[in-house]
Amino acid sequence: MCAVIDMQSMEAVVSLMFFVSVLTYMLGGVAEKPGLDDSLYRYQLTDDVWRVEQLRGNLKNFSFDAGNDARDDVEKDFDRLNGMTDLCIYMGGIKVTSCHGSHAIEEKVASINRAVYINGSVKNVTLTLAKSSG
Amino acid sequence: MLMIIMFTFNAAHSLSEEAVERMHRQQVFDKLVSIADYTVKQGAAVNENMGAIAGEEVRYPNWVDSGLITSQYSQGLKKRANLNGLSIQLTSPGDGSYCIYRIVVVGTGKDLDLLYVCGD
Repeated sequence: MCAVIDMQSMEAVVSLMFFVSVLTYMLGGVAEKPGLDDSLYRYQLTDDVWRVEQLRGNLKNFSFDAGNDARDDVEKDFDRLNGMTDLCIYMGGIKVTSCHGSHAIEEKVASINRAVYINGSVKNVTLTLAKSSG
Repeated sequence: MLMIIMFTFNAAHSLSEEAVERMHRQQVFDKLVSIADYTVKQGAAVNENMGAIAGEEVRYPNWVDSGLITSQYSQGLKKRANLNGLSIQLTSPGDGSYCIYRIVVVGTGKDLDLLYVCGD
C-alpha cells in the first residue's frame, strides 16, 4: 500500500513539474513577444520628412554639393526635427544628416527611396530615420 | 491533481488576460495611426479651390490647417473609432497620455511642427 501511494505521489510530482515547465515556457514566450506592430507608422513618419521638405520647397534646386542653399536648408530642418523628435535623419547615406559623429544608431526606424531632380537628372535618394543613443 | 488543475486554470487565465490586453493595445495604436494619417492627408489638410472646374479642390497632405482641428472634429473621430478618449493637437501633450505624432507644416510660412494624436 505504502509503495502504491509513493508511486502515485511520484507521478503527481512529475506531472506537476511537467505542467509547470510547459506553462513557464509558454508564459515566458508571451512576455518575450515584441510589443506593438508599428511598421506602417514608421514608414508614414519617414515619408512625412520627405513630404515636409517638398512642401517647404527645399527639394527644388537641391544638390548634395557643399554650399548648395537647398541642401543647407534641408540640413537645418533635419536638425530642428532632431530636436523635436530625437530621431536622426539621413539623406543619401550620411551626405545630409542631423546626426554627425558621436550619434550611435540604436535602431533604424525606416528607409524610403524617393526620386529627386539633382543637377539636371532624376536620382533616387534614400531617406532614413533612426533612433540614436547620442 | 487538484493543484495541477488549479495551476493550469490560473496559468490559462493569465495567458488569456495578457493576450486580450496586448490585442487592445494594438487596436488602440492602429486606430491612432489611422486617425493621424486621415488627419494629415484629409481631415485637417490645407485645401485650395482651384476654381477651374466646379468643386475642384487641391489638398496638401502634411500641410495642416490648425483651424480645422477643433474639439468637434476630434469628437466625431472618437465616436467613429469607438475610442474612450481622443485628442488631436499641435502642442505637446502632458505625461501619461498615450500618443503618437506626425511631422507636419503649419501656417502660411509652412513652419515645421508635430501633430499629436492621443487616445485610449
